[in-house]
Amino acid sequence: MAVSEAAGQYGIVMRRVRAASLLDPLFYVQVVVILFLCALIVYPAAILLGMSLRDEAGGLTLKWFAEAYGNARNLGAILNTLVIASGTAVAATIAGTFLAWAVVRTDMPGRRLVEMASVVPFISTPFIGALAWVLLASPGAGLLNQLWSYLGGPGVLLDIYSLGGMIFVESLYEMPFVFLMVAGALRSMDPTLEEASLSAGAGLWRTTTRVTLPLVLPAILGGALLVFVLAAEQFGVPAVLGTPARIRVLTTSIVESQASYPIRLGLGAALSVTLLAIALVGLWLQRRMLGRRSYTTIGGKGAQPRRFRLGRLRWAIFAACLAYLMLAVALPYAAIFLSSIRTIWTADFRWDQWTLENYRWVFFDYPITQRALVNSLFLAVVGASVTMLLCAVISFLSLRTRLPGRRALDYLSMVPMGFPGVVLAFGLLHAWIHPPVVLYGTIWILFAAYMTRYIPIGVRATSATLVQIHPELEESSLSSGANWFQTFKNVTLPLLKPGMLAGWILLFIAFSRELSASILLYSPRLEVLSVAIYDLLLGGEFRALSALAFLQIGMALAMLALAKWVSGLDRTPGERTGGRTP
Amino acid sequence: MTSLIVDRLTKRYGSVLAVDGISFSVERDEFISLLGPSGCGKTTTLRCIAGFERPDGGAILLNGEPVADAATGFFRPPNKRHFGMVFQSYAVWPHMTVKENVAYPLKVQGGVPRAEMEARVADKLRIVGLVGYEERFPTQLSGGQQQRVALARALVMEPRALLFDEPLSNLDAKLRERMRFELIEIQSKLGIPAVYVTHDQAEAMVMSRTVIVMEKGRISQSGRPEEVYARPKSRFVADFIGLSNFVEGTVAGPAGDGNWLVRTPLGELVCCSDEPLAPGRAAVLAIRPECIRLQIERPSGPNVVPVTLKQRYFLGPYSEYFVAAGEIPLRVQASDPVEVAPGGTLFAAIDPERCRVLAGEASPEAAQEMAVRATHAADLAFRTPSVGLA
Repeated sequence: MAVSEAAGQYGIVMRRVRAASLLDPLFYVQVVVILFLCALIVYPAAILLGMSLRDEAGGLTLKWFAEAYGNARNLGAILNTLVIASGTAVAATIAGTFLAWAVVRTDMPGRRLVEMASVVPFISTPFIGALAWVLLASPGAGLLNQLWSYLGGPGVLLDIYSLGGMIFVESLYEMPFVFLMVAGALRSMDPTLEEASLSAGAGLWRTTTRVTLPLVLPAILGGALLVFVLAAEQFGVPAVLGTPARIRVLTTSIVESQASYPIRLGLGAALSVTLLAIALVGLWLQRRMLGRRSYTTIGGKGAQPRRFRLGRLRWAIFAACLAYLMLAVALPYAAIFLSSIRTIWTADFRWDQWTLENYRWVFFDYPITQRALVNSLFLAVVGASVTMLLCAVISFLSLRTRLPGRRALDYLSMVPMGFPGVVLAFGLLHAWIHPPVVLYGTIWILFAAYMTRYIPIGVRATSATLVQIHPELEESSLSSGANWFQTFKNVTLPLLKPGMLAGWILLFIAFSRELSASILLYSPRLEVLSVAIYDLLLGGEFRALSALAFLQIGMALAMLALAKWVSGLDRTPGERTGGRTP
Repeated sequence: MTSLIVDRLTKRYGSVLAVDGISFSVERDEFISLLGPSGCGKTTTLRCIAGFERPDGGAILLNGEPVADAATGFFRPPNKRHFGMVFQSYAVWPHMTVKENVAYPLKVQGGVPRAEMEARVADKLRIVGLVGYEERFPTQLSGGQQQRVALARALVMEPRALLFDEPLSNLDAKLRERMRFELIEIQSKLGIPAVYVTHDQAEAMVMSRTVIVMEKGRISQSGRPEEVYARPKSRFVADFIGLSNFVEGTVAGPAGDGNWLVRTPLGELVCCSDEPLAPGRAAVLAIRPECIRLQIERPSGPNVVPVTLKQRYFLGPYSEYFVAAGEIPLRVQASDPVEVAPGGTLFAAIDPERCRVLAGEASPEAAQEMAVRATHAADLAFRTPSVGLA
């Protein structure tokens, strides 16, 4: 009573404190976003769990888990997954830390060149890398093996179809994540911490082992765990390198359970839950590691970190770093390119073997290519745009409002990081295959999967930009009389533009070559680029496949060039992130 | 005529009481400052007035109408309050030109014809002295110019009140001083209440008709700057605004002329007090450094204490002397030089009218605690003589 009386008296719209957020239109926006994310993440996860615990008749059972852990084939897949993931983590961490140290903390020549290692994951996926390494090191036709025989070497030099081969290829393409994290930690470390140790009388070596290393250890371990999870989730590499040698891992077994007769969905679900658990535990540990990092990142900006003077060793270390670029970039991409313009794959390069026939065939005669290109481009352009807009809204809601439930939103948007693509696809497939909402068989199931997988990356891009935008920039809009919607449209979105554009390019590249979710979700006529390449692989068409792979690499390089150009454009009118420009 | 009323305002963050039931009012053309150290609740109070924080208790009224009232649950969002606010970070939008920034409030509120909008924007830019900068982007402006854009933007909507959140603290010293006077001049022409938050006591005293000193979410003292400076009620206020020497003692009795005699380690001192003092009561005296005269010859009159000169620092307009009366350190500021080498003996004469018994520091426990803190403070003063009156 008193409230409405007062309202009449002052002629103002009244709101109760408790109900205020329910009357706020932003609250409804948030509710819709949360429900949407639940449909994409929570519901499929629940379906997955349900499937793994029910038998054919619908009763509760543990038989799928019994089969997953009791059957030698399946147990072997789990063990192989763990071996490959651990091996990759160890190899990538050692190499990545070494490279980061060499680039940030030594006077090695060519540091800028070696720095390019950080771009490697953008150029191609491990899947393409694995295909290239088949061309280089398959026991029969691998170029390096052919050279070995030609030089008179006995037997086979390298067998890429092996556990070691998979660990090698995955390390090559996942090492940059360790490199980036450790180099970042080394760069942001306060140099005075080291100077204090030096002036306390410790030498450079003791300072490195006693001060520097402990300070960047969280970043190193965090990077190792991230690589562990990425390698466990990897589908493309084991599909290319493991299948011919009958080495099964979790991801390939899950796809197999869905694709081969007899279809045993419960087993697939149990294996999916297992992989999901491995990934979630890995990421949880990783977050804990990085949570401790804070003290290393407090730093004076101006001072340059001390560099080791390597002396004569500098060229040896440079050669070691260069070897990485050779193995990850130069050799494999050259192999793909060569394979795409030749009629036959031999080490004996004769002039009559050069041809563009592979390109003509794959683009015009092979029926899948054209529609796969259209589908992939549609998903990349529209998917990346819609996802970035959604991410901007999520960041805004979770960072800039005090609505109840914004923490749930923040958490939900980060969960897909722990979802391997294959597992997410398995869940989405069975969640949205039944009426009334049937997404499977339409392009929207791929759209939903891509969006869900990359929401965490998009949100990180928008949130990272948003936290640099001083909240007072939005508050001043509010106190100017603008409502939340006007503020978001006129102030927040324009200021977020650089971050959103960077995120968009990242997502475009990822969407245009997604494989591990697509492999379960595509249907005839709804193939995408990576599926087309995979299809060619199954048919043994390596030269045609190389042509498509080369196209994919070219697309990514073009986008990277665009990103560089755009960021250059953006820098010219001055810093655009904050209002604080003293 | 009273315009803005803050009535028993309370704001909690979890278990922390950021603002603890404070009340004050601002008249229609008054400029008041909320002054205090960081964490005292001054910014939270301002943000409650602006509408960025929802009060947990109390009310805020403008011209008799509430804009927020915890009792009824009424809360008017910031975009409906028409309060012009100037932020510490300036908060001018880097993606809009100066003109677009200033026109923004008129645009989003709508209903202003284009020609009038142009005229009002031009008028405000003239007031803040930014004619000719209309098409520039904020990144091409200096900090002072950006703050002028923010001011013009706050003025253009013809606000019902002006709120300032440490708007000058990012500017360099000379510019800060100039902007102080410009802000007062602009505000005095508008005839609307202005609330100014700062931790800079000099800024608060120069600019405001009323200073409100806050500590731990409460108002320690409020009043005209001269009054707060001359008659601090507590050790906190005496220390935060200007500098003070604190001397503990016990009230001996009346000393005539409305003054009181207090027994202290410096001897018996004649002091003044705002309230009658019971003999035997513990008392804390606050003596401003500039209220002590140092002389080589012993002067006649009350409150003369022999002291030893420890250090002397020349600061230009005045000199800073650190002296000791026995074990008790005293800080003195005087403009006429006293030519004595460190270690020499001087006489300190303390003006009884400026030797004040602090009203808020009476209880024996408080005195006890304060005695300890005073010793530390004095120690610190000896070690860090560069602390000026800034």
